Amino acid sequence: MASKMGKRLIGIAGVAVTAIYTAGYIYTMPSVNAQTSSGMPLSPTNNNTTPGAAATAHSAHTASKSSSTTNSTTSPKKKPSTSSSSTAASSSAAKYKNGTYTGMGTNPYGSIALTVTIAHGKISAVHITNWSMHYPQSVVDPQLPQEVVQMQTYQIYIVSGATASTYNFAQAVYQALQKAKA
Amino acid sequence: MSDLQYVTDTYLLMGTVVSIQAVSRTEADVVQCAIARAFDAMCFVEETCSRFNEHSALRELCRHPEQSMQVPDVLFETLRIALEMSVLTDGAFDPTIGATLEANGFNRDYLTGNVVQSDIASTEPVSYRDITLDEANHTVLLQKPMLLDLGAVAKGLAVDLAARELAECDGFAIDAGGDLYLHGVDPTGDEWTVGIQHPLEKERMICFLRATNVAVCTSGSYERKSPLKRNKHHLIHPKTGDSITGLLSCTVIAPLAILADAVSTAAFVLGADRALEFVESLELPALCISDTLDVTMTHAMERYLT
Repeated sequence: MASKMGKRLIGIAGVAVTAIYTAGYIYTMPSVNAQTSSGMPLSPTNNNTTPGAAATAHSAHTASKSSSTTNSTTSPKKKPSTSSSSTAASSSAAKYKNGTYTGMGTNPYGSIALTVTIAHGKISAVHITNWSMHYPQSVVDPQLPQEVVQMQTYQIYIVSGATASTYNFAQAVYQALQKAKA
Repeated sequence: MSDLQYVTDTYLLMGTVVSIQAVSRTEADVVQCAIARAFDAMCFVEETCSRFNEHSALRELCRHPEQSMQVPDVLFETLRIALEMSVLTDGAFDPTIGATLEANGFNRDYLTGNVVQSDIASTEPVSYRDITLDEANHTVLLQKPMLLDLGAVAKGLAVDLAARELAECDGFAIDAGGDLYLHGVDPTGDEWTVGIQHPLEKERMICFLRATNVAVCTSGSYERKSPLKRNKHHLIHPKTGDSITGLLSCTVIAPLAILADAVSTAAFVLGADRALEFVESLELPALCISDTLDVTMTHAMERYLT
């Protein structure tokens, strides 16, 4: 019985991921309707109606040509909401000028550099362009020799842990956004 | 294996740091296109399922309780998985916890730092039972006002979609703030070696796993603390409203990140006594670290340990 549960869950999740992948990344911004009326409740028979006209097309599975030539510069073509939907934005939101802005940040362990891309007045991408954090050797605990041996045997490219916070990047993002407001 | 190309790229997405490392024999151009598509896919999930974006389909749905709403496939499927997990854990996992998280100060946009106020009139207690999915019409009915939070599922889904885009690479590792998907070979041509972060000392590993073609997700209490309340972190029990104690982290391996993410979150919420038993009942490998730093794991996890 127990294993059935696991297999069923794996099956459902697999089908879900495939369904979304196949549908492509088209997000129809429903808030376009929200601004004109109090939304668009659908009667169950009306299931062909898709709320909102402002379809946000993502580059789905067709290859989006990357302009970069070498390491580490690809840019997701995240297309944020269309202009019509951004008018529904709350007034408190800061208005940014379209463009790409750089920001830098440092902490005792190193520095980071990033670019913030603004499209349609909204943040569309935050790209880390340089990230050099050199943690002091003392942080790597010498008490576990077993660990050290393993570290030398294998290349550790990746770490699983509780969702990392973006705290280290806050200063750099702030700096870039200040430029975008100017 | 000498002519393997190695390309890596990092963005801030979904409230965390998202990196993709790709290894391929094909031209760097092709790999970079695949990476760009993978980030597109993740942006798309964030745009539709985020609690922090007032234009998201999730927030739009929450603005219309007591009405049958058509939602994008991505939101419908994510809700479906979330509800499956809720039933399976008898509500220890619950996507209606958004308002509780917001009330505990988990309400800032990670890029601008602006407070996000959903203005959901949710004084009534809510649970996953107040959500009805209509499979035939792909509509969702929220029976009471509520703020959904799909953080524990949507990030995993984003990683799974990204993995599909990268399928042509000989190897890749997607890291969405500790939620991983590993495929093929690492840059040296080996299986990927994953460090499991020490919960108390950053940059120190508590153990290592060797794995490939799987997702590895860790739910832990040590990165996100409530700015308002002492002793509160972001993993809150839906029924008691308290942060969970007893465990510092729970790592789960699964064929898909959406599962690894959901199951590790649910296991963490179930607590030290029931976490391993729960994951084992799903026949997935799990590794728990207790608040006394004891490492325990299921039998199935042992073979991944280096």
